[in-house]
Amino acid sequence: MSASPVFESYLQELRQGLQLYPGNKLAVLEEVQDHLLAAYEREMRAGCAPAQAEQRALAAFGEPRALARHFVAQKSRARVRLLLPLALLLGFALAYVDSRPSWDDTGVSALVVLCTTGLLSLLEPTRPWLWALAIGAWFPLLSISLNGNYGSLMAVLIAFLGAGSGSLARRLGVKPPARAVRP
Amino acid sequence: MSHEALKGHLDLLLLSALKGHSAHGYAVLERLRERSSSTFDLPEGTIYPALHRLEAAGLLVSHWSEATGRRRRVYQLTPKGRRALSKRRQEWRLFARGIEAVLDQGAAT
Repeated sequence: MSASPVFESYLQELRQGLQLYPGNKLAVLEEVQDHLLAAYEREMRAGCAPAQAEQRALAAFGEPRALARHFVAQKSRARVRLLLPLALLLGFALAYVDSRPSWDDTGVSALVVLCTTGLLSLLEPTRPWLWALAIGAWFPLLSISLNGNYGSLMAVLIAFLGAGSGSLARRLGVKPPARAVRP
Repeated sequence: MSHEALKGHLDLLLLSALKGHSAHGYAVLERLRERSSSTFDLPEGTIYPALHRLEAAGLLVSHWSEATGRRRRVYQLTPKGRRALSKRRQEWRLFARGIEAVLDQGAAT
């Protein structure tokens, strides 16, 4: 059974708000469609006309943008819990290497900061500032305290630039690196 | 009962509705409605993020079935989910007993 134009329009709005991996998004939409059809059948059994049954099913289900925000916030929290320790560890390791007197390749450090913050924001685009700080803040912390190198503050700017670019790219439709999706 | 009042209790209700029976989201909602005599008035869509959260926490597991001609995602409790349900149910009873005791004393004075 396929969805009616009214349900299609609702699902389209929900689809636009769901910033999830494509497989997860498809699964949510399919699940919601099934629920709407079941609710429609319930309303029809209760004696509603088809158009009224559709409207009542949608009204009972809730506003699509709010539901999308709920889903996105939840997935986002789960991804942050997974990625934040990794980002902090990586940021510290990169900053430690960069702060060594034997390391003089600032260009490579800048590129790595740009790429890692960009990648993290591509994976979790709702909090680019968090990735910028988790990676970038270590550089001035270590370099200033160990070497008095205030130039390392540039790393924070580069981190924000990378994170902002990654987040923007994700919002514009660039897909993150492939991962297993279900179902 | 409003959606706001249900916040914090939805997980327990969903786990309880799935105890002993696997079900798709709509059936879970129907169970909640029947068992509560339609006391709980929450937007129906609200249960899906909660079901997904419980699945991510390992308390539920889901699979897709096509029994009715439509693909449906069916949820069931995991052993971890059963343990969590038992624990939360005990906590809830303690909490409810405490509230009742306070309310009863308040009504008596």
